Amino acid sequence: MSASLALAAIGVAILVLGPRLVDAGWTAQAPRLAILAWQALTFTAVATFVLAGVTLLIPITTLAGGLGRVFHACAESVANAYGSAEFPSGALVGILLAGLMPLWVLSCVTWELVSGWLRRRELHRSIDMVAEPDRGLGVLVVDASAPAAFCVPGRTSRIVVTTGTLDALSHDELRGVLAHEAAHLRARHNLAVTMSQALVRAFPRVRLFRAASAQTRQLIELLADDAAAASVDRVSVASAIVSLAEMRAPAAAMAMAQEGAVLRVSRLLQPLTPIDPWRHRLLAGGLWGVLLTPVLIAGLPTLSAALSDLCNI
Amino acid sequence: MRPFGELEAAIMAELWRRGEPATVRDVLGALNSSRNLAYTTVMTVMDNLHKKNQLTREMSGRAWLYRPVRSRAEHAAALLQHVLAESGDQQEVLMHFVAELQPDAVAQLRTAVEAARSESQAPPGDRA
Repeated sequence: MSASLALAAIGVAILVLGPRLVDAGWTAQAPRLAILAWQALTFTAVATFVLAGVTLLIPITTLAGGLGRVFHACAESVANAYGSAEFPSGALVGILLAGLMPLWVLSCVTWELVSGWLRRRELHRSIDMVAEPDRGLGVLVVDASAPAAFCVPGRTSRIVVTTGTLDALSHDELRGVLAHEAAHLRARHNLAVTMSQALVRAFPRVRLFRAASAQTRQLIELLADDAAAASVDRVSVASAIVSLAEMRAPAAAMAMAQEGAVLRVSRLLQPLTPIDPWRHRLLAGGLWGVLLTPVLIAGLPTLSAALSDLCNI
Repeated sequence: MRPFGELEAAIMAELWRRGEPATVRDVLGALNSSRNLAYTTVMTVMDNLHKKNQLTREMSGRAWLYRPVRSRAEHAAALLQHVLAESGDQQEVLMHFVAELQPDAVAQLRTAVEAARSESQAPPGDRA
C-alpha cells in the first residue's frame, strides 16, 4: 500500500509540476533534449499510476494465485511488504489503473496512428492529382500563387511547394525551406506529435499532456530550423519564414501560432548558443531519474522480500 | 473538401488531361491501357462523381459526355486552402513551413532580418 501511495504521489507531483517546463529557458537552446524531457514526463506520469495499480494488485494475486506451499511464506512476505489492500476497493482501483488505463491509452495511440495514416493517404492522392514532380529539386510543385511549402510523411513521403513559393524565394531561402521539410521527414517528427496528441485524446483535461503536445509541435519546428540553418545559413532560413508569412493573406493569426513564428525568427537571427555541456548532462541525468524512480519504488518491496531469508528466489 | 477515391482520382486526372468532354468509353479506353476495368465499373464511378457535383454531363447522340465542374487549377487552389487552413493543428498529417503572422509582426521581423543580413555582410539574396 505504501508503494502504491508513493507512486501516486509522484504521479500527482509530475502532473502538477511538469507543465512548468514550458517556462524553462533552455528548451529553445536544446530542442531535442526538450522533446525527450516532455516525453519522459508524460510517459512517467502515466507509468506511475499504472505501477500504483500493479502494486495494489500484487497482494491479491500472490495470495490467491494458488502458489504452492513452498512459496507460501514468500508470497506472504511480499504481500506484507506491499501491505494488504482492502480487498474490494483496492482491487477495483488496481484493475482500473493497471488494466483499463493502459488499454485506454493504447487504443488512443492506435486511433491516432490509424486516423493519421488514413488522412495522409487521402492527402497524398489529392496532391498527386494536381502536382507535377520537379526532378531537379526532388519535390512536387503545385501551380498556384499562394505561399505553401509542406511535407506529408508516410511510406511514400513527399515535399510539396507552390510555384508562388518558388518565385518568391531566393536560391538559399528555398534550399533552407527544403532542408527544413526534409529534416521533418528524416527524423519522423510526426510520430512525436502523434504520441503527444494520443495522450491529449486519452486525457483531454490534463494540463501536462496539453502542454507537452503544444510544446512538441513547436520544438520540432526549431529542430527542423536548425537542420535547415546547417545546410544554408541562419539568416536565409529566417528570411524565408518572413517572406512566406508576408505573402499570406492577412488573416487573424492565432496568438500562439504567432508567438511560435516570432520565436523561430528571432532565434535564427541570434548566433547559435549551444547549451552548457554540464547543464546538458545534468538535465539528461534528471530525465533518467524521472524515468527510473517509479520503477525503483514499485520494485523495492519485491527486492527486499527477495533478499530476506523467508524468500529463497 | 471531399477527397477522391483511387479510381475517382484516376478518372478526374484523365478528364483534366483531355481538356474536353469525354464519354465513359473514352475514359475506359485511356484507363485500360494500364489496367483492366469493366465498363460498368467506370460508368458507376462517373455517375457517382456526377451526383457528387464533380462532373457535369450532357447527352450527345446516345451517350453522356462528361466534363469536370472544377478545373485542375481550381481543384489545386481548393486543396491548398484546405491545407493552409488546418495545418496548424494537424502536424501528424503534414508539416507546413509557412507561419502565421500579423502584418505588423511581419514588418518588424523583416527589419530584423535585413539588419542581420547586412551585419553578416552576406550578399543580398538573388531573387529567383
